[in-house]
Amino acid sequence: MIILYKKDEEVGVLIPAPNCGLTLEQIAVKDAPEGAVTKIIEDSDSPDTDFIEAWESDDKLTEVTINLTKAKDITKDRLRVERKPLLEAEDVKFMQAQEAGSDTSAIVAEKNRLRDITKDADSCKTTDELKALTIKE
Amino acid sequence: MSGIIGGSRSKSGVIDLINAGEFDQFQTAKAWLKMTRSGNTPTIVNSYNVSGIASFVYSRWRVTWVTPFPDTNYVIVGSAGEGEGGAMGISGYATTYADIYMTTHGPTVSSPVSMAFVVFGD
Repeated sequence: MIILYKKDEEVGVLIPAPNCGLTLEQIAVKDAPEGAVTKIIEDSDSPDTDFIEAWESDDKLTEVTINLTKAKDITKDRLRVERKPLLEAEDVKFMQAQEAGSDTSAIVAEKNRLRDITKDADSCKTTDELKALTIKE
Repeated sequence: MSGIIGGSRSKSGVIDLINAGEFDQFQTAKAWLKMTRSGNTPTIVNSYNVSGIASFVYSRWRVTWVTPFPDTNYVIVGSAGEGEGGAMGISGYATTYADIYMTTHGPTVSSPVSMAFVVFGD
């Protein structure tokens, strides 16, 4: 079992430690932000925690939904982190190719692909599609 | 001791002792935790004096103590890096909790990654 909570616009989850000597209700009272609404649910009913910052709910935690626009922003941030070392490597290749007088068109194409990859998130319609996005070709 | 120490990736560090079940090494510990994560979902493998993990931001968790420490005069020694690698850090602490984080792993990373720490104090 896990504990969902909502305080103002923040929706989060508490993972109780097994065998800690406290009941779920005691943990909810002790560890949720003061004044938060809490709800105990089965683990399997948890919303997708990979998009936890995109969780939204009404004030009674009736249902937690994922704001797809926020999920797209989260995915774009992930892709930016993942592509950074690849872009840096392409920059090195580009300089080396220029110094050697070699063709740089393939390198430029790859740099552009990496730069544009965050745009792929805009066309996604589900969080599964967002999670499947990768910097690999 | 005072303050916080975190971010060690030493394989001979705390996480190895916990992985080996050598809990007798930590008889003076105020708390300890071993957890795994898959994506952003944490699982508590084993713990002492920990009531739970709260999550509301990706890759950051608030670990709460069953018994609050009388002050913040404690030291956390932690380690992370099994599986996909990464490092653990501390972003805040108080008498009732510590905020910990692990270097980012994208949602496409599904293999569990371990993290563990031990809290020592006066």
